[in-house]
Amino acid sequence: MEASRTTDLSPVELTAVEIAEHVKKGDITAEAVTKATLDRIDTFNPKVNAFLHVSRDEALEAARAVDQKRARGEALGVLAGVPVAIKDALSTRGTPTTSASKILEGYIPPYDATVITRLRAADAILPGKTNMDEFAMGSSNENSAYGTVKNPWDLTRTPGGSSGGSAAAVAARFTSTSLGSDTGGSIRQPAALTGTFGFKPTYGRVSRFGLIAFASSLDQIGPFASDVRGAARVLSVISGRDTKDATTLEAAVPDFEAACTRGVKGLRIGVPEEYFQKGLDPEVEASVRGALAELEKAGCIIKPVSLPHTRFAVATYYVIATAEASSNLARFDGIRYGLRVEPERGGIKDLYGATRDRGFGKEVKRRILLGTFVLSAGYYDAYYLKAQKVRTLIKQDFDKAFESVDVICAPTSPTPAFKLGEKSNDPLAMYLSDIYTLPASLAGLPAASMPVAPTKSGLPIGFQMVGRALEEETLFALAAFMEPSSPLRSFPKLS
Amino acid sequence: MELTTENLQHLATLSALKIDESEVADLRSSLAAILSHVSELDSVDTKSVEATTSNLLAPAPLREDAVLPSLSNEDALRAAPRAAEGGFLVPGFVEG
Repeated sequence: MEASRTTDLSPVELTAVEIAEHVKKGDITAEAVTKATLDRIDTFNPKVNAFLHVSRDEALEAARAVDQKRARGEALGVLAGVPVAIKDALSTRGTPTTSASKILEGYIPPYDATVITRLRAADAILPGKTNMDEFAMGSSNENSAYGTVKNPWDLTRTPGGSSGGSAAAVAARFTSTSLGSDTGGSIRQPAALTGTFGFKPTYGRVSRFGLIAFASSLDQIGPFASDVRGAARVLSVISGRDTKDATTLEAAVPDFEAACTRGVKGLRIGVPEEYFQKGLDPEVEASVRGALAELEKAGCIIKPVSLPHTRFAVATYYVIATAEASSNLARFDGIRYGLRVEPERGGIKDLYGATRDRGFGKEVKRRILLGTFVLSAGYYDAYYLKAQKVRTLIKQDFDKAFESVDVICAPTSPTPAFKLGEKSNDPLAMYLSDIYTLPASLAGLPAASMPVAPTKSGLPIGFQMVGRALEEETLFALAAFMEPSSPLRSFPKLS
Repeated sequence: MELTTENLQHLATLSALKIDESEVADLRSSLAAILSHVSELDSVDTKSVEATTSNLLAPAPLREDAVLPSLSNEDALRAAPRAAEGGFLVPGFVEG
């Protein structure tokens, strides 16, 4: 496996910030960047399957509009000419949006998600929609109704999930940045498995208006990027209060890019012992511990912390998330949008059943059934209410740990990318692979995954960092400090 | 926790899903394995613990109850598989 990084002005090797700066200065046109992006997608996407839909004409038209704006002397947005790949769970006006489900095949939303509106306003270019696990339910992308995404570092392995297409798009340098969504680790885990930087902000930081909902008390939108500043810039653009999403916070949006130059001397890093136990791959442990040792040398203070309810996170999450999903997915009924299957006999209930039977994949059905079960009379207290109480204990673990540290660091995923097919017939084994990302989701905290030294065979390894609510800046400062010694800027040769 | 085939079919009805005979065995065994794992929550003492229903850091603010622009009727119906006379078309469900 070879990695490469050259220094020419090839648009596919530029970071998001570099592209925006070059476009602003006129060193390169937005159209040239977009053409190079589309060419690369045309050449290599058949191998990787990261994109479900490529918006060639719309992307080129938007790029020309940016170039014309510059020619007229108008101020350009901070993402001028930067191609941003978009997870197919996000609604895009006029562009197919399926959430990788057959039940939404051919659906074209009549409106943009708020994050899309904000990207367009910043002059970003949207080259297409990325593959994912159906309705964001999965950790390997094998639950997509449109074929599995392949990990660009090893095409026989998973890129992780559920935002596997967005992660693979950046890992393969189709784009320098992309958007994903994270319900229980769906940005951080694929970032870890593909050697990209992935960031889940605090719950409420980014509007979910237009995100096809999976579990509303957990879902958050965030960026992947080929460098830390790129993610910071994208997050700055998409963050902030939105009157269309009542769960967005009034909190001011900090300058996340400025935080990248803050330094980390004296930063107190908590290391939870519960994340370094049975099941953790020895190479992942060695790499994460090596990165912690480097941070200690640089002046960070490393302290052990305890998050004692970590082992209950999988059970807690799969009760709460499936309960919310069973309710959220009731909207797919064959009436207002998407697939409609009309049985020869019967009424509206038969239409619902036939449509949902043909439209939903196996894992989605399993989760709807589980969610319906834990919410049903007689089981609600024993399962759903119990899980909500354990969620409180998981949150309290973090509150206590953050009394003595500024950030908590641990592996993102217990193993590097696993082989496609390895866990696809064992849903519980798949769920358990999310053990390290679920707690921060349940607590609503900001968290990121940064690549650290890869395995001997060259597979990426992710280093997870979790911050206090609304303290994303600490994570950007730490990630940016680690960046020069990280393999983040390397990418695999696909030819 | 074992789910009988009848339990499963009842859940499917509540979920507006249809489950084919060929899916029953796999769903029963996978749901049993997941529920067995979930039962580890029983070992956690939660007697004096409040439930967390949301991660909101502040109460969701209310806005003025003002009329704002919305999707046009045409836009709202554009993605409907069947529409007629300005509305979504559904199978009849009222007798007479």
